[in-house]
Amino acid sequence: MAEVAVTRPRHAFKFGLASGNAGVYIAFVVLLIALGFAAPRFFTVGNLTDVLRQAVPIAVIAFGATFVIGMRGIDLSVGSTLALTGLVTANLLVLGYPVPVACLAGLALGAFIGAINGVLITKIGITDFIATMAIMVVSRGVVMVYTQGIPITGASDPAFRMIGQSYLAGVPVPVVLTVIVFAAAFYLLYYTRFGRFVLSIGSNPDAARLVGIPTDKVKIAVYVLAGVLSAFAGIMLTSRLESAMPEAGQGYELDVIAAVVIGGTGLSGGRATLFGTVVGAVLMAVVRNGLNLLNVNTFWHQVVIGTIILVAVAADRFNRSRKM
Amino acid sequence: MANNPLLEMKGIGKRFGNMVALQGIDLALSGGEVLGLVGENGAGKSTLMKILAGAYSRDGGTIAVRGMEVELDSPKAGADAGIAIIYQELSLFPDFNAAENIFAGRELRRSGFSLAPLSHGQMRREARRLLSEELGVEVAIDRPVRELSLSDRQMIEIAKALNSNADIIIMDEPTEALEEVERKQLFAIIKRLQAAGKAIIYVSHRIKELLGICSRVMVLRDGRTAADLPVADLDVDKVVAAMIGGALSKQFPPRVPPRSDPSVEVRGLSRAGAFDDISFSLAKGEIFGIAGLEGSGKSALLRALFGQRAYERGTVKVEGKDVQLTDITDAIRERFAFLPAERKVEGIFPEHSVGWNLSIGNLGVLGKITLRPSKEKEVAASYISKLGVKCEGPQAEISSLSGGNQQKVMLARWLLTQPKVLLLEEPTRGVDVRAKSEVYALVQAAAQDGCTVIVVSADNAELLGLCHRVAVMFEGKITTVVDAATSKEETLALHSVRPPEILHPVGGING
Repeated sequence: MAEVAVTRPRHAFKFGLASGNAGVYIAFVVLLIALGFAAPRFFTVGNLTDVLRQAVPIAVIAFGATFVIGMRGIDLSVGSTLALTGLVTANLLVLGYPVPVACLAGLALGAFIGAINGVLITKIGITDFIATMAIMVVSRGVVMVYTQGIPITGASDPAFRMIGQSYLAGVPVPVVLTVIVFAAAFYLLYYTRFGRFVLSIGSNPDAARLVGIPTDKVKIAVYVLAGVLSAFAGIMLTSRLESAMPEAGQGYELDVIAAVVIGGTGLSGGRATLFGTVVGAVLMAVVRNGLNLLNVNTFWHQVVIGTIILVAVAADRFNRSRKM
Repeated sequence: MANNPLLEMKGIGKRFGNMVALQGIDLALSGGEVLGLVGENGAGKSTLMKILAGAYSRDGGTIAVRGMEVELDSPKAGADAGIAIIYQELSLFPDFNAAENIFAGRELRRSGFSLAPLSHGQMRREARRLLSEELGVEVAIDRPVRELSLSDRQMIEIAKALNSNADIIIMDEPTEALEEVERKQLFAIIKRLQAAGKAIIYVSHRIKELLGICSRVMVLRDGRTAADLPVADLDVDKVVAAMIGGALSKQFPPRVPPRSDPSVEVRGLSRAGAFDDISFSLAKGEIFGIAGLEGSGKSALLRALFGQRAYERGTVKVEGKDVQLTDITDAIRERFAFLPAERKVEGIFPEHSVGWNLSIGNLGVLGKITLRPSKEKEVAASYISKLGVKCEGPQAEISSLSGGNQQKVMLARWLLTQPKVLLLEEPTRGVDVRAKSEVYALVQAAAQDGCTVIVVSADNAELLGLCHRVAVMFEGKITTVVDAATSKEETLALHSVRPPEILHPVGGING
């Protein structure tokens, strides 16, 4: 008991930084050092930039998912939302619409899909898992119908390309944007009423209702947030590729949940660590990159990632039961 | 049941980290004995019982059942030794029926083969026999237990214990959620079990009740035995003194008369199937109690006033102004506050700190847009000291607090909203003796500040001690309103179970 108390950060909003999964932070550092030795190419500027760039879409979506999971919800539709919004943005650009219009349309569509999720869950009463799974399948279907499985290319407006391809003081712009989104999400989750409402609903939905939290509205807003962030990731991806791939974001929902959970946000809701989510997303990108550098067959990647998820969750369980 | 005691625990000790939870506890129990076990929260009652049930390991001491030393290192070992525990939070499977629950884990099969089909008919017959013959109660056998009343479920728990051939039955606060009639029924069953030679350990905060039902009372204080005496040598004051290690000042604060200005006026409030034509008017600073059985509509009425499930007809006025209470946000806007009975289920946010739990009802005090951690600490610290919450400070986890202190935080949460009307549902359930009187004092302080308080409780003594007036509800209607200072518990109990022969005209209700 005593040692737990000492390691506990002493500020009021302690779920912000350090309450995540300390074991994961340690594992992360160990992994970095090990990779440094095993694959000398790992610690090169070019490679690290690649790693971050790969982590970006998962991280941005995972910020939204941290709200969703902190609220004891789940959102499986994020990958399809990414594809559909990326598609719409690309298509509008190809049709000659200005960049801001195309991007805002993509974001608005993301918000709309999120709102549908939220309304299905709160007003119709469908469980989050089923509702978002259905929306995932429907959105992907719309993408396939529209593209007939063929990528939409030619989204190469120079201004648009800047979002995904340019650098700011040597740092890729998507990474800069991700940091900005992180800061905004951090503020929203830990320093506003909305964030408290989200975590209260995740902690005890009945009690949340009884203290006057408009739980349905908050839930819908959280799914809208998740949709908007998926769309944002979709736009960044489309910009990087200058095209919209019909299969973009496939399987992201699981990577995103993995990032959140590895980071230390439990699926039981009530607590959420955005900082942990960043570590989770980067850790997964590092593992994938490391396995590539070490020439491990890609089929093994899934085995490794799955094992990491198990170890992270088991470590968290262990910590928690020891505290009791 | 010869000379050998059925159960003998010697020198039991238990530590959690550096904290000594139990030290040198001796406990002997013979068949046919009912032992009352009391102590403040944290005194070690639950720990001792969990050791006995095999749920906790002990650090020292021996346990013998029927003269044979036993290890009790798992719940199964406890059950095998003939010890059954009926926990406060009942542990039945809500979707199973009574028979399935009674035989859960020891299902009867048509043959010894482990995959043989279950013998449902036989289990049902045996369940019925246990309930109606051994316990003498009528409980629906075929319905999922989630549809049954709390007291029925408790009967099923007891039947389950009997079915496992337990000789030692531990009941952990069995009456806390029961109504008067159900309580009487439970006492009758305890007598039956006693006559059948079972030994019963009865854990409760209700000392008066305990003295009526037990043959001996053991008091724990700070993990040690503070007293272990036959009831004949005890009374409520002596038990309380042993519990807290000194005499307790009066449990209820002296009454302060309400002010003359009106606050809440309820006229003809009705909701089909819940409550019917409820009218009363209350003054500022008045504490108004509502007694009645479970299902009498008292909680439904209280929750309707908080907009949780709105009333269908009738009007509510606050300070002379008509208010609509169609949902919770309405009620909160009109500065109603509501403390639910099930603190764990509907009150606390278990993952969060005291400060978080305290401020969540009125985050505006932490800042208009940006919530400031320093402000949270400051607000929480001031309420912690004002309400005497025992905790490590605003950052302490709410779940590390005792029930009574959690309840004070819940009260603080609402006091922070400066309520005009405070609705309390079972405000001291699961709260120990000392914290109870502190909660009463806080409620009264709120009333003295001009808040109107409505209290729903199954504890009639509490209603009479705390309130100015007490209404009794029966089948959705208020049947009488009494002056608390001059009324007796029996009066409330009597009106709770049967309608008055002649309904008083409305004037009586307005008191």
